[in-house]
Amino acid sequence: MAYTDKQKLIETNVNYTSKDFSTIKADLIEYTKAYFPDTYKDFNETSPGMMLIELSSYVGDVLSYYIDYNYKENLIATATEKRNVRRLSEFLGYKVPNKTPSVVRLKVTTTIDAKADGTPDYGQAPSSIDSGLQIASSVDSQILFETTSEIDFTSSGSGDPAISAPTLDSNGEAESYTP
Amino acid sequence: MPILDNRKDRFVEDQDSRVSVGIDFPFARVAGGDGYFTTTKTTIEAVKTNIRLLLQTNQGERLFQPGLGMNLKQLLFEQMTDDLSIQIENDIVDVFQRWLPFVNLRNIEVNRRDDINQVTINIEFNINRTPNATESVQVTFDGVGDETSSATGDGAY
Repeated sequence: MAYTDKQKLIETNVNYTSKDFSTIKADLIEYTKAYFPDTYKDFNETSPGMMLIELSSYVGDVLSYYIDYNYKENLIATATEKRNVRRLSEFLGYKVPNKTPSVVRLKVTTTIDAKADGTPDYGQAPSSIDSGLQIASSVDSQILFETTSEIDFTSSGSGDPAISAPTLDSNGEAESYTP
Repeated sequence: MPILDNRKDRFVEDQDSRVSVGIDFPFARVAGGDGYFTTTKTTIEAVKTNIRLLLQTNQGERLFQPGLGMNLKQLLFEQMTDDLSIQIENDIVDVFQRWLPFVNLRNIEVNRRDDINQVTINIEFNINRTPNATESVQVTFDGVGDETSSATGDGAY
C-alpha cells in the first residue's frame, strides 16, 4: 500500500507507554520544555504551574488505572471481581449454582418418666423450643447452625408405645404378651 | 580587581519581557493578553510566587506530594508562645531546604495577633545566584481562613 507524504508516520513527543503519575509528569515537563519554552520555565515543585501539571498527571494516572482495570476484568483469566467472573462464566455457558447454606439433620432428645400404666408422662417434658436455636458445629465451634422450626416435646416422634400387662398363668409366669 | 555584576536582571529569561517564567498565583486571567493565566516575567517574581504557594499549602494537600507545604493554618489555633514562633521559623527553614534549596533565607519574622488569631510571616531572602539581591515576601494567616500575601523587593543589588 502506498502512502502519500502527508500520510507518513510523523514522530511525536507523546509517549503512550507512560501510564502512571511520575512518568506522565515527566513527559508533560518535557512536552512543556519542547513546545512552550518561552511561556513556562519554572519546574520547581512549589510553583503553581507544576501544580497544574501534577493535577493533569493525576488525572492521567487515574484514567490509565481504570482503563487497565476494566480491560483486566474483561478477561476471565485475569478478572478478579466475583461478579465479573460469574458473568463471563455464564457467557461461556457455565451455569453457576446459587450459594446455599449448609444443612444438617439435628436430633433433639429428652428423657421423661413413664406413668403407672407405662405410657410416657409428657407432663415432665420441657416446654417447646422456638426456631432459631443455635447449635455449634462439633468440627468448628465458630460455625453455628440454627433450627428452622419449633421443637415440640409433647408429641413423640416415634409414636406412643402400647404397653399392657402380660397374661399370667397359674404359676404366676407370663403366658403371653400383647405387643 | 574583580568587576561586580550590577545588572538588575541576571537571569537570561528576565531580559526579554515577552518570555514568561511561571504562572502567577492566585490564578488570574489576562485581559487581552497572550495565554489564559497571568504569568510571572522574572525569576524573582516566580520565586516569590513559589514561596507564597509553599507557605499557603497544607501538607497532604498536593496529590502525590504529601510532604509539600506547611501546616501553618493549624498553628493559628495553638497557644501563641515564643516556642511556637521558633517552631514556625524552624519549620520554614526545613521546608525551604527541601523544596527551595536555591533560596537563601536571610530573616524570618513571625508576628502574632492573638486577639484575632492572625499570624503574619515576613521572609527576607535572596537567590543563591544573586547573593546581593534581597527580596521579601509577606504572608498573613488569620482565623477567617483567608490568606493574604504581598511581596516587596528592596532593590539592594
